[in-house]
Amino acid sequence: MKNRLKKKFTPLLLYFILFCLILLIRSLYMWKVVNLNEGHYLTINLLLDNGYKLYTDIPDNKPPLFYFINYVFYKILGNNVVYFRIIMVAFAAGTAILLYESLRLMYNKDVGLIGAIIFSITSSSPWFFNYALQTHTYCAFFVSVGLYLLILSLRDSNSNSKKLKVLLSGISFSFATLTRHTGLIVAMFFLIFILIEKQYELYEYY
Amino acid sequence: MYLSINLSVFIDKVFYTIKVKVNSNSVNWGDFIVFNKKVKFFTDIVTATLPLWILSSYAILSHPNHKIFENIIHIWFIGLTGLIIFGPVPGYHGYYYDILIPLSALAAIGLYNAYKNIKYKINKNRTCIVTSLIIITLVGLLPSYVSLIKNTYNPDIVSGINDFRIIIELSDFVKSYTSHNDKIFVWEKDNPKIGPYIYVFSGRVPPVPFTFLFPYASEENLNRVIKGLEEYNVPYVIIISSGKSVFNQKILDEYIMLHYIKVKDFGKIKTYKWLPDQKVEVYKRYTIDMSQNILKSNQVSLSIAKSPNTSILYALTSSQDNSTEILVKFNEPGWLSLLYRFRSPLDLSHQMYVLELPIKIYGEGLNTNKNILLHIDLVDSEKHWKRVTITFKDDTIFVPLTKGLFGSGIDYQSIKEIHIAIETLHNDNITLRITVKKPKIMKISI
Repeated sequence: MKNRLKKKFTPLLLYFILFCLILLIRSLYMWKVVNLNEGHYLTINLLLDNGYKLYTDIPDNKPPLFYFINYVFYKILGNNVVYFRIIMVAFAAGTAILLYESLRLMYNKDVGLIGAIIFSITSSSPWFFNYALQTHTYCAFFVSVGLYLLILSLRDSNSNSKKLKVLLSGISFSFATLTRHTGLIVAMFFLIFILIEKQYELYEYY
Repeated sequence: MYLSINLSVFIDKVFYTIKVKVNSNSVNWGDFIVFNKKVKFFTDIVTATLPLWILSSYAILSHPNHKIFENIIHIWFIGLTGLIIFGPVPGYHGYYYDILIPLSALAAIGLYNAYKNIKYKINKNRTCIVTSLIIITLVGLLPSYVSLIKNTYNPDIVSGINDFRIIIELSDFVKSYTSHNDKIFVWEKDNPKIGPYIYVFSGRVPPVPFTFLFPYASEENLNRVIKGLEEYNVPYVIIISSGKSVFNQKILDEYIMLHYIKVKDFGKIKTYKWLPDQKVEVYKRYTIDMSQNILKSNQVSLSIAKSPNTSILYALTSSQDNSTEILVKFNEPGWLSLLYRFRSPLDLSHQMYVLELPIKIYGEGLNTNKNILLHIDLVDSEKHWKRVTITFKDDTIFVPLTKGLFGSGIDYQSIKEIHIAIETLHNDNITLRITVKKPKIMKISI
């Protein structure tokens, strides 16, 4: 029972620690005006609310899921710059914890922890502008979800649940592409994974 | 040296494949992707994450028999880095974020392997790994923090601001003088950065769905903006400019200068208020009647301005005699001004002209003759001006527009504006009803 609780709450506690770490680093410059993108995306929320149509009226080129997620947050929390910056922290911490879980499964806890800390620090560099609202943060999060599910599926012996995990992972990678164009590169990554996984079957087939 | 890549066409093509037509707001990005900038970008990002690159390389080299996972992230890492650095995007550090997951994973593996190897040689405890991790990442990121501190103490040249205070102050100003349904237009002439934040903080949207305008925006897009300004009677235009823009934006510039008047500066940000020459929102007992016209004329346009503590309760135009009735409340000594702007400059150098201004002021218990001043300014096309101040007479005023009365110092061949200011010196709260008929300027032959 104690072990089960520990297993459940360790990731949550780690998530909280990583969230605080990222927030602490970003608080150095979080309250400053960033580049054009953040204001631009938040204004798009206002325009969508005023009945303008995405792509046809509003000349922007990011994939639709990105605007959809923003719009949902806008509807819940309002068009507040600070809230959106904290959402970015939450997503970055989510990515870090999923990276930890992935590396833990592949290697060990230490590698996972180092990876998560490196990601938390580097993703908070002011050069990447990702303390403000950007497509990268959502995209990286969905990629990390897909990656985690994919690694889980590698370790799964039950073929049905393995298939389900691969399917969910594919959906997550598609979400990554629907939030940012460069998520497309993940499609290549996914294809290579399937080819490597199925190499013996393909060999037998040909 | 320029790379000839047209990103807008590229984007249009991408979206064409999913059957969505995109109206690109840009002209030709290719001209703005400078090769040197790409080189600088590459150097920046490599310097920033050099320790991670070294650790990643160590991870790859220390595992001769790669696992599937490693193979995949190598491909991802190399493919995405190549796409970012050599792909059709301008140098922008944010793109590097896309490879942070595989880079962090590889760096973690590299660091762990390095630690394991060192551990056999020198018997150190676990704090070694944590210390080296912090040092390595911080050293790598040091240049970016140095650049951040440099930027903080050297505010942006274009906007003159680096935090939200001025934007919030400006947005509050716009919010207090516009209704929720009003639209505003923010024009950042040089390098769009802070403009969209004004929409966000004020909660007002632009008249056309452009959140910003590229400095090299096409004439078609500039005309769309002008059409939007006309269509929605946009009451406030905010201009952010260093005055050094090399791009030709004359059409929009001229339109704003003709139809708007500067009301307030917030640092380097200038706020312009609409000159209501065609239609105006008439505030009558705090309700808005869009159908009323304040003054209609082909030769002259009128705008009303006031001192900060003065409130205009309503301004109403009678369509019969073309007079304007303004109910104004002065909370302390203040002024109300009427600006008449001529569509074509007036030449006062050869002929003698007289301004006929039928103006009546009513105020309970008020000795208008003593406490109200009338300032009349002649403004030439270079914005030089000369003033004449007279004590108000509750009647039609005739003012000869001559050099003899106003004095030299302005170009009488190109008079562009006549500015009439009513100033009260009362310390108490007073409410005045001012009725102004359309002014006449009569030529007098000698």
